[in-house]
Amino acid sequence: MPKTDLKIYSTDSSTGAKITSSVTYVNPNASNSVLKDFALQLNGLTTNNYSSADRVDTTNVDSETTKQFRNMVFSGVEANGTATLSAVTADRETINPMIIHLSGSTTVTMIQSQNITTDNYLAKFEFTVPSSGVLFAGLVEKNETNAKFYADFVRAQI
Amino acid sequence: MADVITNTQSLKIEGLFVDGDTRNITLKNPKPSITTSDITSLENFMKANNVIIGDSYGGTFGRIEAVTRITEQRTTLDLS
Repeated sequence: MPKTDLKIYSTDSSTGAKITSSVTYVNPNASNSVLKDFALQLNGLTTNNYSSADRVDTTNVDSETTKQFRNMVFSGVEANGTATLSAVTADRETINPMIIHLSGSTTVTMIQSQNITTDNYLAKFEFTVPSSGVLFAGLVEKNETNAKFYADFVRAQI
Repeated sequence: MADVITNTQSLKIEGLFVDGDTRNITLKNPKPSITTSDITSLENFMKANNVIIGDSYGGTFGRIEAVTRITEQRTTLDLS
């Protein structure tokens, strides 16, 4: 997941020693001027002499695909009942055309897509649980010929 | 050489996010007097600009839950 941090550089007003303060998980959509204001406000709570601030944007190219869906959780799985599957996605455009594959045929309906932050959505799906067996779920892209499951699977024994 | 005693102070600002995450910002050498108004002003700025996000799901910043001044005394022992 891409990550933005803020580094605030200052010096100790008594000793002149260099001090670096780090604020992790800064909003990647925040402007540089907002981040500088933030750095100045934080430094204003100290006796340190402000020097400068850096914005550090990090992109993890390895985990972009496999981390698109996180925290997949079944709830309410009982034979022949109605259960839900929830997942967090970082990509609203991807979550909408999702289908869920389950062992056995069952109807799956998206019942909620809640924006929990600018880039994260909590999606909930409702489905009918088969009478027995093992239940698997994963999310795949709906219209791709060679659609593949993403890395986060959940499994439940009915 | 005698033992060397070093005193340090830091300020821990605990942020609470709407998804339940909490996270700390730690600053060295806090001002001797930090007022509620200082913290409210910082909190308002952070809320207005959603400047930090939660580290689990990227949750929106909710509020400053607590601010703690931490005083530490370190003694380096003279082993001679």
